[in-house]
Amino acid sequence: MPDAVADFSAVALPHLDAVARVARALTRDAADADDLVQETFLRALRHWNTFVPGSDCKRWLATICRNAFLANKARSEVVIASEDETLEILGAVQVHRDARAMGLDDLFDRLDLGPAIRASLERLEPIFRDVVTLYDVEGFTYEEIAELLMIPLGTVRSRLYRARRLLQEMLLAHAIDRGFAAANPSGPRP
Amino acid sequence: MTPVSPVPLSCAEVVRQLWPHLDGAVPESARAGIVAHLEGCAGCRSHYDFAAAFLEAVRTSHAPDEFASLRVRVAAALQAEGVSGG
Repeated sequence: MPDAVADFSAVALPHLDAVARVARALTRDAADADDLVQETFLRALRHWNTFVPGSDCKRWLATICRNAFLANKARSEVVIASEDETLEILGAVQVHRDARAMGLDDLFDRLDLGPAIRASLERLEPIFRDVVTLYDVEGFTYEEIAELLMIPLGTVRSRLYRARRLLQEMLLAHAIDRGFAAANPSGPRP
Repeated sequence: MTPVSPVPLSCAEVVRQLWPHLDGAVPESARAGIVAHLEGCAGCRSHYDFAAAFLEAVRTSHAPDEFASLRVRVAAALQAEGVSGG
């Protein structure tokens, strides 16, 4: 193999998790997603000479993944969820008020919620899980997710905010179920 | 040039920018007003701190070996193309 691909493993493979999450979001099928990831890396290898060293490899791979998906499926369906960004934000603020009233204001600082967060993510509908995973875990921007998933920018935001609000509700319920709520809740809500 | 003080915002206006502000998605022109409000309003600051702690918990929640088997499969496919394992 020529020297041009000598560093492919070191530079590209560390982004497999991100590509896998993009593939899952696009295909909504575990087996199809795995096939797409493999195809993405093979395509990337074949076009490694076009990658600019030092540029953002994760985003380069994500674009290849999206293009491979489109080439395979020849589709670009758009799913638009009902949305109200402000309503979701206010809902999240209400979760905080509820947490504070139950002595759980420091919920996320005090408890190790990693396993509960992963379980809650799995319970989300895929359209919400995909966006919150790509944004909050993988660090793609609103605009990049809109382009990758072929959905409007406003839909990215509304899905992200709803996913966060739902996650907060589930995590608060988890903490209450585990007995972390104060026996004597604090005073009035602001 | 004398810096222009941000226009005072209400709690409702600031809370509506909760996620966009934490995501760094608020226009620069509006950011100063939100920051100024948060510095002087314990109630809104508390909402933002709670939301920021939540986001940090989500960012650090993923399992390290979630795609271990897929990683092996892709490495094998690349190896067949002549790339050594990563």
